[in-house]
Amino acid sequence: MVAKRLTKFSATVLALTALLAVDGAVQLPSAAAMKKSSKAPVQVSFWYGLGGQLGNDVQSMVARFNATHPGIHVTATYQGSYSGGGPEQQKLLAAIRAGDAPDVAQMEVHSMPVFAAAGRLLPLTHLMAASKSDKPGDFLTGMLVSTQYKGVYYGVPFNRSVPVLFYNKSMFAKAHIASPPATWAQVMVDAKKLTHGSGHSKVYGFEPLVDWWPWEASVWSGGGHILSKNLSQAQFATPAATRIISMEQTLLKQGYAVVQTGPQYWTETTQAFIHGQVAMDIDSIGDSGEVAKGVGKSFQWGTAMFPADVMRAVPPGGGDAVILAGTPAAQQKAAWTFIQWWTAAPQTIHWSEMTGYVPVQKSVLNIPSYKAYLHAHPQFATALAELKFQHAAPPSPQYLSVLQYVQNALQGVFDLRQPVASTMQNAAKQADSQLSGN
Amino acid sequence: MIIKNRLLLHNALAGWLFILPGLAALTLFVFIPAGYVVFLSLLRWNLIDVNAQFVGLGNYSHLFASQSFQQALSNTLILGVGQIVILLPLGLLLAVLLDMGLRGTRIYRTVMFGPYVLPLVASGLVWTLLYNPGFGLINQVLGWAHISGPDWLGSSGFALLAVLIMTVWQYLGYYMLIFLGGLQNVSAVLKEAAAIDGANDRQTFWHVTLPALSPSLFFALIICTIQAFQTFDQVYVMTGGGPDGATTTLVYYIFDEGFQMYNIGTASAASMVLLVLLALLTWLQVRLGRRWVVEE
Amino acid sequence: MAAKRRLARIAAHAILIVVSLGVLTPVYWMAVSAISPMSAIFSSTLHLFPTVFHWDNFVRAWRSQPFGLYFFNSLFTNLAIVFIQLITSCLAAYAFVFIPFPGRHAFFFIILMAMMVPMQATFIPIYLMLSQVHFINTYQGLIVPFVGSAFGIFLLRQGFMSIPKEVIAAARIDGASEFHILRSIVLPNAKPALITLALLNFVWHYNSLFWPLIATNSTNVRVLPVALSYFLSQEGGNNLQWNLMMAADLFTIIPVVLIFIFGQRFIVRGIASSAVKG
Repeated sequence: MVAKRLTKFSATVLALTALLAVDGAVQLPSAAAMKKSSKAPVQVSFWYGLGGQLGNDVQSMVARFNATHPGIHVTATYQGSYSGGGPEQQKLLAAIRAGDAPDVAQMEVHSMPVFAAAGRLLPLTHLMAASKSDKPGDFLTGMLVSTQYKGVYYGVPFNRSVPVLFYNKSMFAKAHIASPPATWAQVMVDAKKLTHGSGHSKVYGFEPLVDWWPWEASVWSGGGHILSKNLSQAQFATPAATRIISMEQTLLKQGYAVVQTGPQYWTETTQAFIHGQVAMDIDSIGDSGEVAKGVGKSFQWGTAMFPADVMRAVPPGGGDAVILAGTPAAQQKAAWTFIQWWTAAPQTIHWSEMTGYVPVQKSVLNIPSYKAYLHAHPQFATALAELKFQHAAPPSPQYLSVLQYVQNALQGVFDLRQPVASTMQNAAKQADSQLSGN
Repeated sequence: MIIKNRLLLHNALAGWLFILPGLAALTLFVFIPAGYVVFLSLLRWNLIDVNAQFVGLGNYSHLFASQSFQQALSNTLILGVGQIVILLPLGLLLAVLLDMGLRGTRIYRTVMFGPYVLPLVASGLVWTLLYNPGFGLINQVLGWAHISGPDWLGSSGFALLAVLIMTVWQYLGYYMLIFLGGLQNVSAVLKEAAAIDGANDRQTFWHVTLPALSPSLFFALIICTIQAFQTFDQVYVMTGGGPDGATTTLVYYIFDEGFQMYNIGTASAASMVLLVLLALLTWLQVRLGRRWVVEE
Repeated sequence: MAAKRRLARIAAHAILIVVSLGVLTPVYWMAVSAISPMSAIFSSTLHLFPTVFHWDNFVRAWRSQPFGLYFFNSLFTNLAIVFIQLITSCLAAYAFVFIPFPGRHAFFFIILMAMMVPMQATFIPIYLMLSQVHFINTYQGLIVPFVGSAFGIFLLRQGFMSIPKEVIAAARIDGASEFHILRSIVLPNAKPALITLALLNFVWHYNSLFWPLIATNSTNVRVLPVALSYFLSQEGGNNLQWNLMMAADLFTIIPVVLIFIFGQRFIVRGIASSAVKG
């Protein structure tokens, strides 16, 4: 009992110290913390949301870090998927409420505003400015669009991806199409040529991914906007914003495209491409590992940039690393060391090759071994070329809710083939009500 | 006098002490949350903001104006009515057949009641496989009859129907049992009396058995509605509420608003709607169910 | 007349057989799919009977995720719920039936009121309360909300009422304590009601997805329904492996099927009152 009280007391003291330390004094951990670190390694807790093989990859990276950094020990715990509104975020919310949040967490790129606006994340701007390898200019162009909220950096790119077009080279050759479509107009033409067969063995030319993530790309590429500048109004029902999904729906209605429905729609979209049921699909570059494994030698395939329309734009995808506000000074410093290590060239390359996520730093492009890797795996070259076209999603704390309405509307447009304009207007109306708060 | 007082005191202390653990648990996890949810329904809050904003009845007006809420409510009602229309007559028919004293009654009863004890998640997953438009059993069987089956879970016209069919499969045996219990209570004496009066089987059923069964029927009606209002598991695994909200039930809506979108206020306001509706229904059911259980 | 009766019987059998086959089909299909290779599941030609038997699907499904741990989590938390609920419900039901304490009618009414409040309407506050005491994502978080049950009190009260009050009165005169009477007279005489409550409760909580889905996130406290609901997704690492999915379905339902086979009469007996819980 007494021991318990003591722990609680010391925790309070630590928290107070941290509060005092946050204000600029981060680089200089208190004497007590220094003393502590000379004895035992600083314990850093790190929550991530990548399951299966990717989870093992995270653990192997963390083990490497711990082996090379005797003063720090990072404990990485898998907390369920890191998707927006997913288990890891729910766990994080509960932990923040209970006051036992981790020091570092992986955060889905669209969710950061919710946490930043509530003041739950540590501002990283000054740390980045002082960093040797993680200065804003060190990252590949476009990588930082998702890591800032109201001009302050709160995250560092961690596992990042972009949506790309996967295409079946063998089918393209058979249809005498020399190169993958660069524009949506070209997609319309190619999808028609690539569709053949009937019944169970029908092959569709194109397969849109019924998800809000590529939808963001389609709004921007068509010249539209998702929300108004002041974030108070949905603008995604305008003709420009719905141009591309209208084209996709036309393909669907004409029988040149197919979509996957139900809770496993994403996996099924990837699998349909792997099994040669479609000639092109929209998917995450992060799934290229799965595609490579699934396709094997059964056909030739490649990736192309998400097709352009009036312009070229894609959303960032994946997650960034954040440090939680209220993390004690010593842990902050250790956490920052860990993050810088993770994003440094050797690690980011290793991570990328292992998982299919993109590397995050500019310096990798000058490393010969990575150049060779890109040559052997051209699908990543596409993704890297696409990075500079990343657009920031609207930084509204209500954005996750808006996306839920959009997701429903997309199911309406693609699964149910409802009219695009009215379906999106409906979703915009609901989003407006959410944004204005009544 | 003293002895009587001591007995009173003993009874009071013992009684209170004995109900304390159960009552305390219920207070903590039923009554306090029920009050708390009323409070939360007046806030605009996303779980992590330090300051929640008090919006009065704003969440309720938002809710009743919201199309997705109306859709969730109507989906729930359709499920409820669908279950009542299918499960009650079918359950009754099966119970009547099982009450005929046929050979193999026990086996029939066991088979038909079986699905009720399975986890809805497990059943929902099997049915997802059965419903698959490409390789599911249902459409393949329909294909034999040269009918091209729909995309059961992927189209708005069929998804809710598909959930309804699966739910009927899960609960059919349960309603059959309720009616069988009711029938076995009225059986012998009343029916014999009717037979002596010269009534035929059909007359006996409509004029004797069915009226005597009315408490079971009413009980089943209410339970069916309550079950429909609690529908979540099968929707979560089969459709995720989609497509475009076509299978979003009231509970799924609350889950979505609260734990996917972090709109705690709206979710709590919807919870209040569910709470009031179900409290009314349960109150009816307890009043009638008590009578019915005692009769058993 | 006799011919007509015979005809009616034949018709009745026909209907019952058709419905039974309909009811059994999904279970049969679960079993067939569980031992089929993926190629057979994806094939567009129908084969009602398995041609090849991939028994190793069960091993692969079991190994694809820590199902041993999930079984332990499910059994442990649900047995704990059943055990604690039996205690709290026995005590309260005993008081309501055998102790004429002041306020018992009012208290019983309050308990009945608790039956009207479904968890689906109060889970957000319960989540907030439990997160304050660090119970989210722990065994406690799965157990604690269910330690008291209005339904349990209600059901046991029904069971206890069939015990003659004279027996209790006689024991009191002999100077037995209330606790002693409960343990040595009431409980032995109310075994069917206790077994009914235990079985219904176990099945109910073992099957339920809703609360564990909300209250837990990580694998170390994951229970079976949550594990099944994640099985097909990429997170589960079994991309659309329907045969393994069905194999996992099959071994997950074993405990409830066993309970159903051996405890059917208790479950059937409790159905009338259990209806309250859906």
